[in-house]
Amino acid sequence: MNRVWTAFALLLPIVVLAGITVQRQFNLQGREVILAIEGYDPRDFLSGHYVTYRVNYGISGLCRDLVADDREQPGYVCLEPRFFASGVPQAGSCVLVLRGHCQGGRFVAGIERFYIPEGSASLLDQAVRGKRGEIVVVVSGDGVGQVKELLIDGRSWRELSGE
Amino acid sequence: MVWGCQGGIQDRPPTIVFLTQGPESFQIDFLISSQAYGATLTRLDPKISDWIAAGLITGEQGAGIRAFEAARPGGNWLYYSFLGLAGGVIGLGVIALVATNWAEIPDAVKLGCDFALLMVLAWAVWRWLDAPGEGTAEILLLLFVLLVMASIGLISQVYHTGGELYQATLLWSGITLAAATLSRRGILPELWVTVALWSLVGVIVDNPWGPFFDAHPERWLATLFALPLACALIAHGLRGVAGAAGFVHGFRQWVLLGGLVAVFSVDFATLDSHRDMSVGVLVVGIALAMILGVGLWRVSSSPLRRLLGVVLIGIYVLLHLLVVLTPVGSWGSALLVITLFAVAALDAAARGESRLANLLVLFMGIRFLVLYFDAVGGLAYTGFGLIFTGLLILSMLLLWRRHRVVLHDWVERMAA
Repeated sequence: MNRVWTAFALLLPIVVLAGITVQRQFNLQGREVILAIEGYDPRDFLSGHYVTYRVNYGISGLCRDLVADDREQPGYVCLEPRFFASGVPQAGSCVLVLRGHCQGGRFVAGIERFYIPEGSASLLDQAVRGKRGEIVVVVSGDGVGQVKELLIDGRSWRELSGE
Repeated sequence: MVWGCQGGIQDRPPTIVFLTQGPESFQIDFLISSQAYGATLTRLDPKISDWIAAGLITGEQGAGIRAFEAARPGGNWLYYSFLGLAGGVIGLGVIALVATNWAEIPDAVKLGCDFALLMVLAWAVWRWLDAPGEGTAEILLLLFVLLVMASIGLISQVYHTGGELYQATLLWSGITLAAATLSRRGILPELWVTVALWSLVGVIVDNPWGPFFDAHPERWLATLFALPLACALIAHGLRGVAGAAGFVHGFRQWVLLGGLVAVFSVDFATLDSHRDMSVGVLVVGIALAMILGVGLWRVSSSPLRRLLGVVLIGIYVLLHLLVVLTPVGSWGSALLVITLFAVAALDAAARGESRLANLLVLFMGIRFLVLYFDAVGGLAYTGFGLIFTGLLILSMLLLWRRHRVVLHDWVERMAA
């Protein structure tokens, strides 16, 4: 077997995964925002238990201007000041923008999931369903959001689960 | 004097044995198809015993054949199957550990250990890949790609990324394709083909893509219809490519599995008399069918197989067209499905795949049973219909048995 090809085949997955990790870590360098949530707890085959939730942006009429079907259509939520736009907000009109898409009438920004340990799943699920949850989201300069922390009653979820 | 005898091996070309008479003794030459992973010794063993008993070969020659086959790479398929099972179970265990999400361990430590383990496994594969004894490298390679899958899950967990499972498996398929080509067994390439196809189906079905595919049922129908055709095209395209035998085998398996699922799905769809789909749903599949039909016609060495292949594709397409365009009911669909299985069984028999042919005949029987239980038009109507159909099958069998040589020649002249 060609040694060059073998080396490429074995290094490719490692390099790609390392690149994804670095990119995700870089995204954590943006501005933090706290958003209220409500949701439920399913399980992911690969990554384990997570809570998924609907983020309360405090904006009425999210995705209203876009067709409410299965197709993904770009959407933007301005977090400062709070408003929704179907296109990129004009320069100067928004201090902090969160990029996402509208699908089925819902705005999705890739921040709707938080992974939790198996043992804490039930407790945290109840807290989130009880609308006691908030998420800390880091938003990068180009509008990409990444979840950093889950808060229950204003405190880290770890305090609630006793970890 | 030259003798030729053929033994069919499931899903592999026949093993052909030629006995040539030399000046003093019989010599044995084996021709094994380049696609075979190695003749199954358990299938050869009774034949060897029969040949010895018939005086065709000596006891020493029989022992030599047995030793040769046992030593052939891939001869111990059961051993490698269990190796693959062991590697798969270990890999699943790693994935489960990742999914447990040990919050006590800092994320940096989890990621660091994960990448360190990936590098160690990569080094181990590099070290053992060309060493004698392929089992070690094979299991290490399997563990490596499964750890890649677990790593994707770990990164998703640490950074709380969203997305569907098929998106993760699609990423996995893309970055491990090259690693899968390093495998010398069928296990990893077949696993890769299965995961890649599943990922692609997820991408297609989960996202609307055009005016004919707004609804899930339409996307499922289009995907299931096209899937086995696409797999057949890919398998044909990869034949003869060095190192692609495992992928060819994997895609060929999905031709059968995908075809069965597609046929049963479209057959089941006839239960809904209010179905409303456009023929545009089948456009991609019909295009693939035409390319495949032309390709089969040009490359098939046997006129019979050429004809059977094209007829098979034609009935498959016709079945889907009728279900989409007409209000065809259960009886019409059953007729086509049974005919499709009959032609597929003939094609399998023509390739020497007796087990597959028997399986397809079994499916024909099951479809007849379903027809009976449906009792469309009443039990009496169904009963007479089934008896008539059974007598028709018997008549065709008798006709074939009596005139098979003439019929075979006729078919070959038609296809030539």
